[in-house]
Amino acid sequence: MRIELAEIYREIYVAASRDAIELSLEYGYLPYVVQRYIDILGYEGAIKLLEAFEKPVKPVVRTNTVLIDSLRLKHRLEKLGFKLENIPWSSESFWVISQPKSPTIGSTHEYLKGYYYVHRDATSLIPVHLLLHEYNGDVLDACAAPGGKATFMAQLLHEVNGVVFANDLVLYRLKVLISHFMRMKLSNVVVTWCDARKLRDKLSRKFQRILADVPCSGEGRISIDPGRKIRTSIFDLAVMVKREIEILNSLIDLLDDKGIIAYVTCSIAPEENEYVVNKILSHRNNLEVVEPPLKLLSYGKGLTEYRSLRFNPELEKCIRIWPHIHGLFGYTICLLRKKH
Amino acid sequence: MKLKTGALRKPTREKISSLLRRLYNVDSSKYVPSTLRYVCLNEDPCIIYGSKLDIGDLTVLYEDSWIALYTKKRFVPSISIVQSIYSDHGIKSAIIVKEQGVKAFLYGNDILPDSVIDTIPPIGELITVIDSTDGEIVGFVTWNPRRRIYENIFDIGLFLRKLG
Repeated sequence: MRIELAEIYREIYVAASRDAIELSLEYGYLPYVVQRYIDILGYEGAIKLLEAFEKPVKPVVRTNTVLIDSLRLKHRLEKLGFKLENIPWSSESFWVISQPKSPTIGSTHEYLKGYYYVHRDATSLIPVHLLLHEYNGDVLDACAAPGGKATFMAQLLHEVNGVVFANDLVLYRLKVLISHFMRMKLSNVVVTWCDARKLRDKLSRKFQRILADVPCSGEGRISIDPGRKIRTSIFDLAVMVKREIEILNSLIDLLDDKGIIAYVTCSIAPEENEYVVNKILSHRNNLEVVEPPLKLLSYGKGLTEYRSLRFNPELEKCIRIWPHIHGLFGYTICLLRKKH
Repeated sequence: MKLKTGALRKPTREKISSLLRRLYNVDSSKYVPSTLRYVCLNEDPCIIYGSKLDIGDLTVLYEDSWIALYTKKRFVPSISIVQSIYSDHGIKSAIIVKEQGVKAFLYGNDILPDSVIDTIPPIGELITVIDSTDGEIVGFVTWNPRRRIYENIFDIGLFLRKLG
C-alpha cells in the first residue's frame, strides 16, 4: 500500500471561513482547526466544544489490582486527604475530585509502592476495556509509552498469564514505561524498542489483540495542553496522517485471523481517524469494523462523511468521545477485525 | 540518552547469586533465572531482568520482572526476590522503620538510628528497610559506623527520581 503525502494534503486541505477565523481569534486556535469543528458540529456545537476545551479534566487513579484491592487503596488515599469518586464503568478506578497540598497524587507512598497509576483523564481506560473484553491471551501494544494502557492491560491479563508486548520508538518514553512496570511489579510484560511500522518484519509471531494507540496531534487533549491549539499546521497534520496509515496498515499484518486491532487516537480530527481507517479499508478486503462489545458510556458515532469526503458506512461503528458531551478528553476508537 | 543492553555474562550473574547466598544463606538458583539480560538507560541504575521469550529480531529492553539493579557501584536484589526469600526462610538482615523515617527515605535520604523500631539479625552487608505501617519492603541500606547512619542504597522512590 503506497500513500502519497501530496494526495493526503490535497484531500484534507481546509480553507477557513469568516466564522472560523473569528472564533479562532477568540479562542486562540489556527483557523483551519476551528473550521473543521464547525463542519462537523455546526457553529453552536463548535462553540460548545471550544468552551469544553477551556475546562480542566479530572485526573484518575487506577488501582493496580495485582497488589491491592481498590477499596483499600481508596481508604488509604482518603486518609491522606484525597477526595475520590468511583468511575461507574471502570470499577478499579477513581476520579480525583480534590487533593491535599501535600503529597501530590503522583508522590504518595502508595504510588511509589506501585498501588496505582495516575491517568490524566479517564478516556484512556476505554480502549483497554473494549479490546480485552472476555479475552485471555497475549496482546501487542505497538506504541505503548508512557504506559497507561500497557500497565492496565498487564494487570487485567495477570491472572490469566497473558503477556503484554509493549513497544515504542522513543527511548526516553520507554524508560518511563519500564519504570512503571517495575514500580507496579507487573511481570507479564516484554518491552521492545522499534518503529511500529517495522514490527511486522521483526516479530516472529502474530497476535489476537493489538492496540494501535498511534502518535497523533493530541487534538483531544487541548484542555491540558493549550499549545496544541496552534501546534499542528495542515501540512504537519498530513505528515501525521501518512504515518498513522503506515502504522495501522503494517500492524494489521501482525493480526491473527479473527484477531482484533484497536486503532486509537487522542484526537477528534477526522483526518487522523475515519480518514485513516477508510484508507485502510479501501486497500484491504480482509477487515471489518466491529461494534464496541461494551457500552461504557453513550458513545458518539464515527463519521461517515466529512466535508467532501465520503467514508465507508461501517465507520459509524467507531467510537467518538467528545469533550463537550462526555466531559472527557477527545478520543476516537475503531475496532477492526481480520476476517478469516 | 545512553543505552546499553545485552546478555549478562556468567561472572556477573554469579555476583548476584553470591550476594543472595551471603545475605540470606539460600540456594540462589531458586530465585535467579538462568538467563539474565541487562539494560542501562543512562548510567545509573542498570536493570537486570530475567529473559524467557524468543520473540524475533527485536531489541528487547525489559522482560518479566527485575532481578537486581546495579546502582551506586553495587548490586541490589529486587524487592520481589527478597520478599520470596523472606516468605520461604523468614526475615533476615532487616530494619523496621517508623513512618517519618520511611517518608524521608523514599525521597532518597538516609535513615537515622532513632527512626528504627526494630532490627532483625543477622545484619549483613545490605540491610532491608521495612515500612512499619504495612510491613512492605521499601528499599535497602548499609550501616555506616563512622557517620552512625543507615545509608540509602536503593529505595522505591528511585524509579520515579531516576527513570521518570
